Amino acid sequence: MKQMELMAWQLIKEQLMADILTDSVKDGDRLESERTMMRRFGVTRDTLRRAFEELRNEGLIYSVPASGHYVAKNKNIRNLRDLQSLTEWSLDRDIHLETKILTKQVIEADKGLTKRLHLTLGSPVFYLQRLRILDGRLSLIENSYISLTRFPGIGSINLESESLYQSMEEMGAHFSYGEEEISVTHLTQEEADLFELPADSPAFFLRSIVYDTAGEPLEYLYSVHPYKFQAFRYDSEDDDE
Amino acid sequence: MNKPYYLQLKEVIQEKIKDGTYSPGKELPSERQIAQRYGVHPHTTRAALKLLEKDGLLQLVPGRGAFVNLPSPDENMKELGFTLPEGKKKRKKAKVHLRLAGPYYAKILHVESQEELYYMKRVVKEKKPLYMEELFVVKKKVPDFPELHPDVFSLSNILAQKEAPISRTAQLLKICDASKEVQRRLKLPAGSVVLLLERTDYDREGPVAFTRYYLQSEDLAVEVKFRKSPTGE
Repeated sequence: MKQMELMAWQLIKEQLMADILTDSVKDGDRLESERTMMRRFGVTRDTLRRAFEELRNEGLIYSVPASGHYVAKNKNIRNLRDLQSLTEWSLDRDIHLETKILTKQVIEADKGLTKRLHLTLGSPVFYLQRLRILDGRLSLIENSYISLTRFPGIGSINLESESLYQSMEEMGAHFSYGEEEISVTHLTQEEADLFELPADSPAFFLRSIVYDTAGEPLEYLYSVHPYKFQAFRYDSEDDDE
Repeated sequence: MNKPYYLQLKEVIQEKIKDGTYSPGKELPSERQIAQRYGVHPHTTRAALKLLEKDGLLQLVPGRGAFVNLPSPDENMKELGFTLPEGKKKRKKAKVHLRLAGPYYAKILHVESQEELYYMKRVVKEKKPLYMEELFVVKKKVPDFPELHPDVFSLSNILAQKEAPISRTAQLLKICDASKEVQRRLKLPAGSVVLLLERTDYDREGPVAFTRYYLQSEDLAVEVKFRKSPTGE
């Protein structure tokens, strides 16, 4: 089998990806000027720009006209395996988490909620919509639905300062496992205004149900995350763990 | 009274799969050849093969032939992590290439940049394109990769047959802007975004393969199952 020849732009793209991966250029660093790189790689500006375009598409760099190309690493990488609350996650990483409640009300379970939370029609459900702000930047809008029959005290807790999961655990919930669906959505005008992004910008849409050890649903939630600063990780356990 | 011929033929082929005449991953003789050998109508052959596919013993690929299925990988590995829609049978024959690892894939796959990798790119379709897949496999770990019909069987299926099976995977999911090539191959309008899923498969010694999936995001979702880690708290 003959070896495949890589195009010049591919070689440059991979070299720059390696530089970013190994941290020889760091988040926010400006890359060498196009002129310098043209000399270093011995290629034309068009070839170089093709490589930059590819890196930009994958969110590894961003370009500022008349200034240059900058390294952009994904900052919020959440591992989905462990069912770790955002509170724990941000504590682990020394990231400052601030929570603002946008909506907090009691609603009646509709058909969709009766299925997701194993309730009967019209049962009282606690609905909570929160803005989660990481290191000063609004990072996601989270919508939670919890059965008030099961957690009657949930409405009286200050959920701007207390962790929702911790409060539920104190009320006897044993978090065990969950299912999540990740897709792409486009921001509504209202969401876009909150994130200070153009309306219709793409965003992650996550929808999940979390269950307790008995297989009973504890929470149904969905959240919206602008995509530029977000990635999700899933690492399987080692065999011998 | 004898059973109908398609059922008899099904049992004949099933027996040959069992005794290893047709071994896992291998291609069966064509429908026409089978029909000739037993003096039956090609429709009879087709019916027998369909039944075997239903039983999970064969994979039928239109325009290519019938392949003896590989046993499924470990259920645990299958169930956890991001799961993609399977995509049905509309796989075009994809070519496996050789390439140098280069600085980036050398780092990802823990090899020297002068080492050779197998590379394969393909689009998986249902009625419309679902995703584009780019595969990088360490040659010295899976030297016979091109002969294992990588365009018919999934990578995890193939790697599950190896002596050193996959013991762990790491996956990363991002959203990115579709490049011109991705737009063209997935038939997406300009300005589209795609879900980019990157996966590294490891055996006990280290990385074996790296895969990148570009998924059209119009109506596709990735599913994840998670559980509370016993050490968490």
